[in-house]
Amino acid sequence: MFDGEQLQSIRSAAGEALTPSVVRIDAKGNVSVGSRAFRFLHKDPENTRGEFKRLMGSKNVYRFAAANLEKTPEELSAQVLLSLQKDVEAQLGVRPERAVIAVPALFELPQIKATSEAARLAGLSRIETIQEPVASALASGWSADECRGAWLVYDLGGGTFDASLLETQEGLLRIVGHDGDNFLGGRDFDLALVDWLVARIRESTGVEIQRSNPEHANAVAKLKVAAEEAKIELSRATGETSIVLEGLRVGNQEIELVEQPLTRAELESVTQPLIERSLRVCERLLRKHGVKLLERIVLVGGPTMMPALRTRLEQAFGAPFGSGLDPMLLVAQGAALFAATAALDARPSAPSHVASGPRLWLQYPAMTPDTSPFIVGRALDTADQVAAVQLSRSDGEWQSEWLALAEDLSFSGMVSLKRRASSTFKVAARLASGSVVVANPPEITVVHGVSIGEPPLARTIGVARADDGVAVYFERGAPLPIRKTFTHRTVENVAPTATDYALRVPIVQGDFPFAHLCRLVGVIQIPAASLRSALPAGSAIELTLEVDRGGALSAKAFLPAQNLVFEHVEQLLAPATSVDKMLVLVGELEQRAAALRGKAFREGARTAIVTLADFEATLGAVRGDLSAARGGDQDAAEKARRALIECDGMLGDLEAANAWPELNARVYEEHTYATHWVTEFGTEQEKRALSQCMDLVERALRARSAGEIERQLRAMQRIKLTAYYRDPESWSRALDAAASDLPEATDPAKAQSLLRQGRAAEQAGNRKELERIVRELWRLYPVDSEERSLSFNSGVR
Amino acid sequence: MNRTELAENPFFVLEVPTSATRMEVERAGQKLLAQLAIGVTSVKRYKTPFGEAERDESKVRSALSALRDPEQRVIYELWAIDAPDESESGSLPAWGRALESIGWRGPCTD
Amino acid sequence: MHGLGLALIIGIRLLLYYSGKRAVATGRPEPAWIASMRGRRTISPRVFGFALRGACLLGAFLSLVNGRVVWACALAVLGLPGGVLSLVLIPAGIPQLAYYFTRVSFPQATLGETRAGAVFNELRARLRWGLKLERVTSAAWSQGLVEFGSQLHDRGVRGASLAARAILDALEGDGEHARELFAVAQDLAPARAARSVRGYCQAWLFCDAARRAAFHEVIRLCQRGPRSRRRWFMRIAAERLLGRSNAGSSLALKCAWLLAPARRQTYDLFRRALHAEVRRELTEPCSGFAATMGRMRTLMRLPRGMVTRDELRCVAASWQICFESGELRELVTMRREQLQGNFAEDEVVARFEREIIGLLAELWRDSLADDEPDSAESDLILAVKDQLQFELLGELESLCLTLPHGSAPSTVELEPHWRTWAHVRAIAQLFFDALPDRGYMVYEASGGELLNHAAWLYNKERARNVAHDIFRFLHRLAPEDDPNYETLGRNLKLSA
Repeated sequence: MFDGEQLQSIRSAAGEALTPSVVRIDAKGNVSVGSRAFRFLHKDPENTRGEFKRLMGSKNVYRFAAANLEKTPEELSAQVLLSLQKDVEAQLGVRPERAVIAVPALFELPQIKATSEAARLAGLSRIETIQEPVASALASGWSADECRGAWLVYDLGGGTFDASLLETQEGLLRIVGHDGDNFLGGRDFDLALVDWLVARIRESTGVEIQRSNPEHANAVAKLKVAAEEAKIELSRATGETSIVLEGLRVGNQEIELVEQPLTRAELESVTQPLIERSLRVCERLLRKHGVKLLERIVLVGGPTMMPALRTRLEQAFGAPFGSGLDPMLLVAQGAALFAATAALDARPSAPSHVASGPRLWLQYPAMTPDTSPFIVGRALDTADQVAAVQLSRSDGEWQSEWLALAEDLSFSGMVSLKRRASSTFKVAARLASGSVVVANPPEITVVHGVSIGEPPLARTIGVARADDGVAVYFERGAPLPIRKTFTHRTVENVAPTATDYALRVPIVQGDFPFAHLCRLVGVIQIPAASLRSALPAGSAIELTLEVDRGGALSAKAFLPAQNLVFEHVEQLLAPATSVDKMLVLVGELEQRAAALRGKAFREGARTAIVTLADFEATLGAVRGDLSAARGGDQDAAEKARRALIECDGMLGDLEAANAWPELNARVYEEHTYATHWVTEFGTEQEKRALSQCMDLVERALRARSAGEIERQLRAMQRIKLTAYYRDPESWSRALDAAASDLPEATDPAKAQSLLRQGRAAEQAGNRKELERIVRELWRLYPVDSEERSLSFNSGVR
Repeated sequence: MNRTELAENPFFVLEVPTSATRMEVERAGQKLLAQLAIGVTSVKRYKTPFGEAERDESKVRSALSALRDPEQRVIYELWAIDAPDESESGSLPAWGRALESIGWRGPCTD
Repeated sequence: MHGLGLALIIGIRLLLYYSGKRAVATGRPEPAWIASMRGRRTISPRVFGFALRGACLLGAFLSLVNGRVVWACALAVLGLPGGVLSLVLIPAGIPQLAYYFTRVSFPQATLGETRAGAVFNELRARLRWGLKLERVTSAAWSQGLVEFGSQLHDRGVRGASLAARAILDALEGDGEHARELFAVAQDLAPARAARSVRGYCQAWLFCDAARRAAFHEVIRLCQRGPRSRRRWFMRIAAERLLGRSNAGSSLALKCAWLLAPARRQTYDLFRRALHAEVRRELTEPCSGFAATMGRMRTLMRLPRGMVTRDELRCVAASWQICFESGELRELVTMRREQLQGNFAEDEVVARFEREIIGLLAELWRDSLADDEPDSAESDLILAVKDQLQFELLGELESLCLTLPHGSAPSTVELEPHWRTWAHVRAIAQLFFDALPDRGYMVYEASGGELLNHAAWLYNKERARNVAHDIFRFLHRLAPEDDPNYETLGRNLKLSA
């Protein structure tokens, strides 16, 4: 809660500042939320669920056995929100109708939509979402003495890790970039500790606890809780603690007592790889934006209390931490500050005193880093005959001039604020008659603090094209809100008589140049039945994509030829994943990587080797996750899927980078062949055309325009083939090639007979006949049509 | 890059010179947003070297965001640079009675 | 005697018409002997038309001689349908009258298209006074009357059907599609579209371009289509309005206006063109970044089509000096220091160069061509031309790659084929207008695919008229030693 000067936190019914997001439903259907439910997390796992934030927006459903209910993550979040609302009501007497909800920065569009859905279920009439790094940046900026230079916000939560780079200047904060890992958090630290514990237990008692075995799930849960407690204790106290568990049931075996001492050093070594992972993400972010020196690091989230993490960060970046900030509360404080600036006061508006005085409508920023902002206003009743307005600061040290009203009754003027404090201004109006009265509203308050620019878009958004390319609409990092319209062309004829066909316009999110690597976030369907007449190929279709400040996407398709508008976007949920398919994909990726690795080593390409090392590490993690996923861990399956897309992208980048010199080589190779055939069998015109082609290729190489090079290559191939086929031997060679490819023919019997005819023609020396037969043969071989299915069956280009 | 994008250069939208400081840019943007929210009519159009254009809240906001990023700001400064005016004017008038001359009295197309 | 012959001909036509209607309504096929009459083209439409009209005129003369004035008048009217339509019925603008008259009297201009031709005349009549236009755009009206080919073939789709379809598009507000169809209709072979129909399409295109103040398009249109007085007048008027130094003199303008049709409506255009002055070209070099940007803005402020290519070459030369001398890079570096940015100035400089090339390409596309070959151009202009070529050819190629060919399944509707072809034609024409010295690339980029598509249209779809048009277009473009040249020639003769 922010009252203009200070931030205060509101305690829950149980007297705590923090409410764990755990929900329990017992047999009678009573819902309990928070620490009361948290206690049952391992005792009664069938009916208590936590950690559902990661799975918002996916199709997962949680089963509550005792009450025999199934709930989606949105409904569980709504329960948590309801309980928070009740706590606020208990303390302040007012039930909030509007709220600001902080979401992780790398939350994708379906997840943001799920969050708003949860809020709606909880009965909140208006919410704004703010990204967590933005909130924590706002809170740290507010409490900092001065803002200068580059800041890193290191947000390690229970399930996600977010790193944000901020640029600050005189109170103006701006988010320069995000990075993070949606599947790295305190929970993973706990799991690492659990793995270590499992190894220790195996050593001491010989019992093997497997995370992937569903029968051991109970034991694993107990181990997790114990590990978390031990971790928290070691952060507070130094030295050593010990993990004690009694009666651990593992399958058919039972372990009486587990007593494992744990030192801080051992904890550090267990969690070291995870910390390194987070550091790599931070380094990647800094490198991408060319920042070498950090002014400050802001720590957010419970797990950052670990001293090992703090020392490592200090070592890596050498920047001081923001002082006086409670990492667990920072996000909430930032959200409250944001609510103040977004005019989301959830208190009921104060009843107006018997307000006399001419009514004015004033617009001014509730909080601004500018010490002399503008205040703009307008008189609402002409009958009052207001001639001028004056603002005087309540401490008496500053007063504005009389601001005259323009013809449309508006006025504007600059006011001067007290630094780092809130300033109240009395509003006085001078009427046409000359008398001075107090206006309505009589006072306004402006706070001098920090402001934050709108956070940029987290991932590139575009439309998938039929040739598996992406038409980029908004780049990653584009400021929100944003809207763009482009015109595309359809790729095929659509007739209204084809009732079950619909033209698809897939909207994808991701930084890859190929559509099949990006994630599908929505589809606009244009059903053929709704068209007025046949839509020929190549007709224009105008697409407008818009992302609002909260990150919600809306889209519109307009067909100018038929004056039809389609606005319904099917927002897709995160697709279900199959472990077996992912294993197959892992195999394919390994093959590609092997080829790339061989090449990289031969050429000594350093960056490629480094990237491949990263790739190996990620792939190893993926294999671990896949085996956990077999044990029913949905989270691990999601994580593996995301990681696989990253790996595919990494390899794709390497291949593209290799492709440039390969393209170069291909061009020269093609040119050599073409020259050879054209000089032997080509006409004058072809020779000229070839040299022109070569000129254009040179220019395209300089301009690095791959599309143009491809086109010239095709042209060269055509010229080469034309010359090649003048050679009498070429058709015989073609016949031989067709003979060897016989198994692939769509109609083998016919192909056989044609081959026989071809041989006869060859014997007879009849070139024209041979040519005709070979051309017919070619028609029997299949054509590649896989490309379109890669691009989500897109119908536009 | 086409005419509409040139006319939507943030420096024209916000009516600040290319040498303005961060704070001046933010202040001008905030003032325009407040005036647009109130509905001051004089603020709804702005001048560009290519004629006048309409201004609305989303344009002002995207202009503010664009100028906060140094890279984008430099590019927009290059396009909005103060240049000597060789003043050539405007548009060719369209021939309004064109379709009538072929005997067409129906609705005109776009 | 002649009456008997006339009655026989009319009787056969009525028989075919009603039999066809009954077949469609009941779903049963027609009797074989009627179907064979329909399929065979024993008499060419032209000969049939001449014979019919000759018979009517002869009958009129004979009736006059015999003193039957009424019969004489009626037969005279039937014998000169073209004149009656253009002088009386269309200017009168009475709905329905022009349609039925055309159906009955087979004017030369719309022979072979009966129904669509009648619709064309009907639309022109209704547009004269704007009467009863609301019904015209309803789907029932247009679908019922303008079929783009029956299920069997599209032999009935010629100039007037395309023009009628284009008028309907224009009435619905779809200017782009209307323009494309009119352009195709204007360039059809003389055997497929009568001169009057082609003239109408050309006139509409002129007026549409002039209404949008796109006088450079008017000048480009003057280089194709049927020769007419209107074309001569529009060319001189457009050149004078654009202020070109090689425009015709006032005397030439006055002559052209006096000879052109619709003098009353074109009077204000004539007056404006008469008072237009030659514009001074801005070909002095500019020095420095600011001056070059100022010149760019001046050129952008000029009306579309007024900028000449020499002016663009001059400003491109100034830009090249700015880029090569490092002035731009210095500016960017200085500002980067002041703003404390972290970006690489190379990228910013490259992006700015790309944006300049894009803007110059847009200006180049709208400017009128001159005869400078590629070899004499500066690097920046070559880059501009390459950019334009990449955009246009890319669009053309990707469209042509998706055209059905070979063994693709046949479809029911033939209209989309015409529209796709019109669109391809429009892009190709734009390429020829913008980059005339690189025109050969159109054939290289898409000739093969278009040839295959046209073959498929001819063989599988029986859409012979559109295939013929495609072959004609390709035959004109293909160089003589191209291996497909003979094939094209053969196909052209076959589909004629």
